[in-house]
Amino acid sequence: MKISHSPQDQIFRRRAAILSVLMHIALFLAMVFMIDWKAVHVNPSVMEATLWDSLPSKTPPKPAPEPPKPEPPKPPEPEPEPKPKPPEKVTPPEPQVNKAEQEAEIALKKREDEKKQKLEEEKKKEEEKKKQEEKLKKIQEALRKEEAEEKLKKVQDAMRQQDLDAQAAATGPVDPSVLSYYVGLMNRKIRSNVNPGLCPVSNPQLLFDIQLTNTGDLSGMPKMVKGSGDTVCDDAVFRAIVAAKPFDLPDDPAVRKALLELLHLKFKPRG
Amino acid sequence: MTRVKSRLIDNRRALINAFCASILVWMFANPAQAALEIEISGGSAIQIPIAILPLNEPANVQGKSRIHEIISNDLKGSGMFRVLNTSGVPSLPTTAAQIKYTDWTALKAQGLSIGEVQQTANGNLKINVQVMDVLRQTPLLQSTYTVSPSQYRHVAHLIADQIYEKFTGQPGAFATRIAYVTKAGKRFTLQIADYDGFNAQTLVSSNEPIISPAWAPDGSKMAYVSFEKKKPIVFVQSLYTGERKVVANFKGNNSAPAWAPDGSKLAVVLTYGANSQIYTISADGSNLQQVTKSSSIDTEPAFSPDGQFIYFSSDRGGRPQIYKVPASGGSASRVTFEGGYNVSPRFSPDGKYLTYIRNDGGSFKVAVQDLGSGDVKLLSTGSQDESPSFAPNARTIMYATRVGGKGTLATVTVDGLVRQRLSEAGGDIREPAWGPAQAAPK
Repeated sequence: MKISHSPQDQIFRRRAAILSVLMHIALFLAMVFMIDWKAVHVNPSVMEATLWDSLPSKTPPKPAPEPPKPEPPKPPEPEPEPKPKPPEKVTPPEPQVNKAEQEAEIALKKREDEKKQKLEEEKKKEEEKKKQEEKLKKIQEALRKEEAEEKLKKVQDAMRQQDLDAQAAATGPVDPSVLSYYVGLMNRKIRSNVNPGLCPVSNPQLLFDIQLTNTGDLSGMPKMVKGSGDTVCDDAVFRAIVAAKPFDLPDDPAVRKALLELLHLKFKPRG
Repeated sequence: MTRVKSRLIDNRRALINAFCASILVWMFANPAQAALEIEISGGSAIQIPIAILPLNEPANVQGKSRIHEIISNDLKGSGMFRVLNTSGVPSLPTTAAQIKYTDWTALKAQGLSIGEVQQTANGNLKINVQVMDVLRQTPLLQSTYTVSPSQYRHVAHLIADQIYEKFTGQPGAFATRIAYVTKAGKRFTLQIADYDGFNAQTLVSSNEPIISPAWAPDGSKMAYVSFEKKKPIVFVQSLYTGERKVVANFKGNNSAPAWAPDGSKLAVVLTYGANSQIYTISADGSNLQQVTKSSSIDTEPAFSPDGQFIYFSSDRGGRPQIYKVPASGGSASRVTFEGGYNVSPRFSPDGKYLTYIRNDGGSFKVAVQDLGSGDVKLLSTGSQDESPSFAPNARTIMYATRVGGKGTLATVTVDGLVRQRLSEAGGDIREPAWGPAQAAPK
């Protein structure tokens, strides 16, 4: 089927074609400019090196038999390697050294030395700053790691606790022999720290509440529910409990769970 | 016995009752809601672990690095404390702010003593000691003394007394003095020293024997027997003024003075009638009264702490034993029955114990008798031990013993667990008498 175009359409099509051509030209120019702009920035180090080397020295420079070959720059591929032009032969200047020039040279060198020193100092400062920043970073990282580990441990503990709860619920009643064994261990450990000689001969009874953590440590300080009426005796029993930690806990989830509940300790220090 | 029982928490009752290895366990069916009650009877700890750290002292202070050593030795010797070795601890604090409690809990310390010594403008020492409760991480004790440099030993003993009392509830007896007799060549000297044998001072000396020193209950006077007049005479001498009085110089021998608890009179042994008998006499030498009347030898009297009785040694039963008689006189009754030879009775100030010398198969040893239970324990290990004397806190007994043919002094705790020998300097030492508690310097 043949499509007929109106004269207005034809005008638009022509304009579009012209715009397209113009855009292509513009893009091409931009590309060329970019390459050229990049090429300019490849060489500056070479240029600087040349300038520094050609500084006049104190003694008149001897004509170099062979001009120093500057190291070829390593331009990024795939651009062509720009080969530096060999420096023009330097004809040695006549040794017309006068005092003013010498002083100027000295002053120049001094200034350069100072500049160098300043640069070095700045460099050192920067290095130190960097080192400190690195140190700080490391500490921050360690702290973050520690925090993360703590969080992880808490989560793990909570999960473990959940497991234990679930297992305990599933396993049902506590095995009394296992419980007796672990209570016996706890009893002996505390008892070995109780100093009966510090309590009255009337042998008063003391009550303390404690709660254990998952690791067998004390969760907080023992709480005295009933004292002996003698602060030395109360303190002695308190110290005996704290000094006895950590306590052994069983793997048996039901018994473990029972021991992780609030425990009431009843003391008769003199037996 | 260990007894464990559970408490009812909810309505679901499913109790498990078991008895295993002398442990009674009652549990709920639902272990998640069980609460245990654990009964702990008795205890086996006897010593409190404590760390005594060197005080921060200026280099020129007399007695540098000694105060903490004196405190340590006092507490160790009491048998009630285990002084911990702190050589492995990375940093030793001298102020509360510097304490890293984890270091001390790792060492199992329950107490921690720190402090500093400063020299004041007038050359005195300002000694500041703090004792911390390691388990609670709170201060237990804070003591500050400003004293002359010569008193630093006494202050160290006072601080040890305070620490002892804070932990045990009983007063310490470190800041106390002892009296004893030394014999060097033919010279007898009655000396008074700190309880550990330091700072000895001569009260009286003579070429004739001096025996039986006895402290007045207030510590201001000393009674003793001197042979300086070629016969035994009882003297009482003031420790402050040096003034002395003859209290008993009767016909025959006058010996073995013992103060009544109120200090108003003394019990003495006189051969005034015929054989050695017990008498009481006022501290000024008046009002002599005979207490025992027997045909046997009654000697070595000692008042009971309530002043109601006089305990003494007598061979009225055929062999030397300890008897008691009312202080106002009357019939005597026998106190010791175990062993064939028990002499030199001395009461503990609290009246709970009686110590004496027992012949144990040819060896003379210090024994202690619990007057409540009647139990007797041999405490010393020597073969010629004599003159036992209680510390004012009734926790330790000092006695004379012989080592290498020479007399020396030793101490033993009433439970027999800790024995110590005092400094052996000063020649042949005998007849110790432990003085009463002293007031602290202001």
